[in-house]
Amino acid sequence: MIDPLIDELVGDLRPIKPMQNWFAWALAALGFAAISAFVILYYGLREDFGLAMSSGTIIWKNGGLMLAALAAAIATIALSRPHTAPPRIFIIAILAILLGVIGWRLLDLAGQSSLFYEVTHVNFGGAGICIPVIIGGGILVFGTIWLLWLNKSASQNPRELGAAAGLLSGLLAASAYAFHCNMDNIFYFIFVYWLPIIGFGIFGYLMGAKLKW
Amino acid sequence: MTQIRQDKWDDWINESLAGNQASYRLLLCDLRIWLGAFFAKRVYQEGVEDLVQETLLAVHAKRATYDPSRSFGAWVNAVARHKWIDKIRANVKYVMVELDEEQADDNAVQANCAKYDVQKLLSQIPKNQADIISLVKLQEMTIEEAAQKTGLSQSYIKVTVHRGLKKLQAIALEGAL
Repeated sequence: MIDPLIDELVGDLRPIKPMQNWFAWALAALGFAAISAFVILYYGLREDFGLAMSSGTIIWKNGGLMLAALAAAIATIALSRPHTAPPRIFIIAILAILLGVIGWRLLDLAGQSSLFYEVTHVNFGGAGICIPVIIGGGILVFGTIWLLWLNKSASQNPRELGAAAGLLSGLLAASAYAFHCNMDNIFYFIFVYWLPIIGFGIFGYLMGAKLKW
Repeated sequence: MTQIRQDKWDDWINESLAGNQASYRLLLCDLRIWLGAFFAKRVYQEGVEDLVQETLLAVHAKRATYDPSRSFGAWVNAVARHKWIDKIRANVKYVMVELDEEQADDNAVQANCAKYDVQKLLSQIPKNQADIISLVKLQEMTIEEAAQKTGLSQSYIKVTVHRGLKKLQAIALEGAL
């Protein structure tokens, strides 16, 4: 059978390695390690790290961010191919745990003080470092993932893929910065950590339009 | 009649990824036939060849996203579905664009084809909603004319068209034809 298009495609065939999921995991891990190393070496571990560990703060704060990053990574990888979809139940379960943690912290705070007072008197002292580190680190991770992974993807939902990658980038940077930050107020956590993370999600969603194929 | 060897696809794609041109040719020839049948069931006849070619190009460009641990059939089905949905999306937008008279003659065939796709989609939503969208978007009536014809208010027509188009886009996205 003579078909010029098939002839052309066959002539253009070169050996190619299929995308491997471990490569995306490695990119995320390396990004997290690089930002964590920068935060710890430049700003130092939080002074009360041992105390924060024993009181469970590290579990809900760093752990919560890492858990969400895990969900975002799974979604990013699954959305990158046309024939795979993220395991929604797993992701919903992780997000439910995260919301549960935030709800638990709010209830805990409500037992000690007025929530209205707390929300209107948040100490934003560390935000001047926290937000730039999350944004800078997130851009670094997002740019790397974009160049080495997203560019090669073929998603049926490119905007959702961009959003998942954006959230992943913000979450990894926030998790890394949490090694230094000792601002454990839940409203600080929501405003200073989650607003930039959500911003990355929106940025990724908008950038996702460029991933059309 | 040429038979499709779908049971060979997984082997052929793996050999193609390694650079085997003979296997790749066999795969693409099979895919051309399979895609022709896939799109013939879904779009107007004039649009089939375009979609087959676009999908073959996408298969070539994005073959690295195929996961060898899974079935190639599922992968190529997803690629074809993606191209088909893109086409429907473009056509839904296309019938929403008002054509000037000169363009209308030149694009008459394309417009008819686009309308055919949309009519297939309209059969998936409630009849009342489909009728109103058909009046406004396919028969190109104004909101006022459609309101007069149906005896409904103009705002109801507007809302129904807006909601209906959103539903159509969602259906197209899910491939629920």
